[in-house]
Amino acid sequence: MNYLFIFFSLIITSVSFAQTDSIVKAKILDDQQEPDRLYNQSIDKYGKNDYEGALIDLNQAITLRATFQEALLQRGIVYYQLNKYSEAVNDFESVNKTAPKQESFYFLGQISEKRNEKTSALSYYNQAIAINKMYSSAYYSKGVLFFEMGDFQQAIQQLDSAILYKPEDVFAYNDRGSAKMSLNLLDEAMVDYTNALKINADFAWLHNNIGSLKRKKGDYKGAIAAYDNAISKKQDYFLAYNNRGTAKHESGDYKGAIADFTKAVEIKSDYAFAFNNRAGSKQKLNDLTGAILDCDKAIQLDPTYGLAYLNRGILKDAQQDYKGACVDWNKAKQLGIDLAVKYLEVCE
Amino acid sequence: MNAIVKSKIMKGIIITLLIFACFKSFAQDVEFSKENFKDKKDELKIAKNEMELGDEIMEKEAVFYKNAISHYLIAFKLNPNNALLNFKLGKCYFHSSFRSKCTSFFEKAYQLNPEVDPEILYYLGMGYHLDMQFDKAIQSFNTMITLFKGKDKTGIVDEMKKYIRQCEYAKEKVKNPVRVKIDNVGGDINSQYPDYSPVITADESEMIFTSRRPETTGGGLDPFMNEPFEDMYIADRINNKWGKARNMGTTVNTEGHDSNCGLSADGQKFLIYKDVNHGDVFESVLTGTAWSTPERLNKNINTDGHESSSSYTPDGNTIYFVSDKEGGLGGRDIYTSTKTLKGKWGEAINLGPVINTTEDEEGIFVHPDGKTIYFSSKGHQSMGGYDVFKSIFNDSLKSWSKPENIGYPINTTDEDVFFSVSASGKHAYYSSVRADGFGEKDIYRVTFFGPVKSVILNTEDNLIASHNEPVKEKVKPSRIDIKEAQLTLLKGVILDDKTNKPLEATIEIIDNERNEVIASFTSNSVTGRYLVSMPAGKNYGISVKKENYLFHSENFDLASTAEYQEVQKDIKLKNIAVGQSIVLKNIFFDFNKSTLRKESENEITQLTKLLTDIPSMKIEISGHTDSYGSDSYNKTLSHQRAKSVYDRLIQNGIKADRLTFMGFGEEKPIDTNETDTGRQMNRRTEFKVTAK
Repeated sequence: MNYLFIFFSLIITSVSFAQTDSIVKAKILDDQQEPDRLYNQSIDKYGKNDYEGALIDLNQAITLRATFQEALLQRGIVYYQLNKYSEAVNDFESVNKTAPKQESFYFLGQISEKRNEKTSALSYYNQAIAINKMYSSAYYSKGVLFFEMGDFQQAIQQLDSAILYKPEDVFAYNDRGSAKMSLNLLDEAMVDYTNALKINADFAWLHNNIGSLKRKKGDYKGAIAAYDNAISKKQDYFLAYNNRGTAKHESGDYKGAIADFTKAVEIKSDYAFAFNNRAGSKQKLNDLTGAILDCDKAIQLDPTYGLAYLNRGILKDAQQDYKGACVDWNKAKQLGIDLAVKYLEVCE
Repeated sequence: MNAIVKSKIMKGIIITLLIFACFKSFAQDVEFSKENFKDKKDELKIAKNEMELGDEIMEKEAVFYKNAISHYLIAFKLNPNNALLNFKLGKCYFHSSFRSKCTSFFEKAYQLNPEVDPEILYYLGMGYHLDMQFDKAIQSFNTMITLFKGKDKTGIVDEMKKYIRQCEYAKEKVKNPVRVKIDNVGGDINSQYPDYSPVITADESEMIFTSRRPETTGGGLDPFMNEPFEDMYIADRINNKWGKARNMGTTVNTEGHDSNCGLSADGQKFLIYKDVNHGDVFESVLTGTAWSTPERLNKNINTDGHESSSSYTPDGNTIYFVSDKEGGLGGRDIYTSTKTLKGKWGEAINLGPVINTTEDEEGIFVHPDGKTIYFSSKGHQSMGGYDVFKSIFNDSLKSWSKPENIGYPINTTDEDVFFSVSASGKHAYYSSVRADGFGEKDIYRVTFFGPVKSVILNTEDNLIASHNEPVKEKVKPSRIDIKEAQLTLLKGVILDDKTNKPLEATIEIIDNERNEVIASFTSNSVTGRYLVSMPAGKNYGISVKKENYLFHSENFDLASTAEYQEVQKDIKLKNIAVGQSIVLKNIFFDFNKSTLRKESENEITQLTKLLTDIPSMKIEISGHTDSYGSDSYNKTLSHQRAKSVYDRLIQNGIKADRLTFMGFGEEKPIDTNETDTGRQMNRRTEFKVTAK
């Protein structure tokens, strides 16, 4: 009986000890996993664009675990989204000191671009690619960077790689098409734009770009149809109205062009380009006074708009107001319009 | 029809009748009689006297009619409603410098008495034509045709038809004016007297023109015109402004008529019209600051006929001139004459029926591009009288383009003659009687604005999908064909390298392709100034030479599409001294080879001549490259190229002991190797004097 009591007592005691131990162990485990939990929580918040909330979680996670690489990386990304680039750079550089990640280099590249440090950006993208040769986003960003720098050949090469490693990348197809269009490789550009359209036909800008390509090829009817598509996808796409107006102008439909330019300024009342362009169509319809008023408006909206000065000079010249024309061409020259130098040759 | 409407019509009829009655009473021809001016006997007497004085003048030739105006105007003050007086005043103005003033007088004369003179309809039509009232002019000419139909023995119907065509053409031209700005050149050049016939140097830096001012040389009056004799004046353009005109002095201006014609592109010689032997062309040359005594051009140009206007080609080897000599196509024709190898003016050649018509051509001007001529004609379709036309010579077809009327407002219904265009083609000069003038004919500067330009559109696209910022683009407007002169003006001064003193040197222009000296000029001995005009489409070598100096060479390889440009280049000639070196800019090699190209021939000849002329001179020929390529390759290439020149001089008879050669590769650059222009400068062949 005593043995039995002792036996049961021991069992009870041992169970009670075991329970305490597991509770302690569980508590320890729970404490150890808190950073992970916070990290996961931050990911959820990040997904919901709650960057401030995500940042609080990540700060706690990193406080609890100073060497939490994933959290450091993620916090860098959150800082990036919050435009806190210096903090982001600190986190990415911390990651890179211990265990470099393709993403940390990639985002350092993005921040360099934001800071207009293009060479540095290229170097970071290259380091990202060195970690992962199939890192499509880095190739894409490199392609865009070369595009912006006007090196369209290099842009095409990088976008080739982006498409190779991510064949359904509609952005990469579009941008490669744009680079080819910039090199006047119009047929090849059309192939890319068409492929992009096959992947996703919902982007208004893609239809707009196709319109501009067709306009470049002199296919004004096709261009106008493509701009129609762009506008149907995005009703307030003032840029497409401006472009469709230009296509109509170039095809000789000056009244139609004026209607489109007018629509563009109805949507965006400070759209200087559309005022400038409407002046061009009014000139063709011999409404020189109206055209000059449109140039006046374009200049009022953007006093640094050199081309509008050049154009107003052209209109004054057409009105035989040569003195006024020369004043405007001089201003256009000051604003860096090369053509004005040639026009100014007749002014003294 | 209601009562109110009827009353309005009646009212209208009554008013019309009243106006007509008033007009009739105003429009009555009022004789200068005692009955009409009972209370103004003295004034009537004066008026009649003045009319007699005017009538006496009108018995002379038409050029004197303008002198009758002041007399007739006194009578006109007393009686403005005399048909004959109005007709006479109209005729006087018609033959003056203020022709368009005639119209109102002819119009009134016709209103007062449609039969005032048998010629009234003709003059009325001409007045309306001059005054650009084209429909009224056509109506008058048509009435003339109706009156003369079936009775015309003098060809007047054909003449009226011609005027009608001119009116129709003028209507079109006025409707579509050329885009120009016309500015009076200012009071430093123009005066209250007739100033006309301006000619300019290619770069517009100098102008010579003719004027009839009371202070004319000798102070005489032309008995036939009752006006001062013509003298020639010269003016400089400094900082885009014409300076004070100066009489050209008694060497070129005489007591008779002295009128300028052509001025050479560089302003170093000019052609003069003198009223001798029925009108002949003379030439004067500038030496330093003095013009030489004009010399009559030879008999190939000056005949017993009337030779008047004339113009040089830019190389100075050919002149175009106008003559009414026998054997032409009718009236005054344009001819051309080129210097023979002996330097004499050769046989005159009629420019042919594309340019010359059965009527008069006048005022020839050859543009510094050497292939475009401007001239005035009554025979080509004009707006009235002489109009200015332009024609371009096609070198491959060896033919002139159909003359093109240069349009209103340069051409008018009046006489438009003597038109001078700058090398750039952007400006022209001519004379005209205009409201903003200083009196009589004045000289005006025309600025051509070219065709209307189109507004340039701006577009933008979202070319980069991941970016919000669209990429901006300028829509290229369709190209406007601006017809600009395609030539290069090379100008500057030639100086002594050490003293900086201006030098009178010879400037030879060489067609490197044909290895031919195509023109030779001399810089001004006092100023050292020179100017040469090089039409596009040739590889030109320029060789500047003077005794006791090393020659200087330049090269201008001008593509046929090269646009107008002015190149300012001051050239310093180096004395012949040991250590002096010269870059031979017209030595050409094939790419990466040391074979001398045939375009180098003239430069080799120049160098050979220099060594022949100075037998004691020894030179070192050196080859140089830019920094492209390896050092050893460049050194070898430059060495071989220097040797090619050396070999060629030996072939030309220069002894080997006077010549050495070296290849320096890229060791001695004279410019940067960072730019195309710099590298081009560094790729060169030089020679250096090693013994004198």
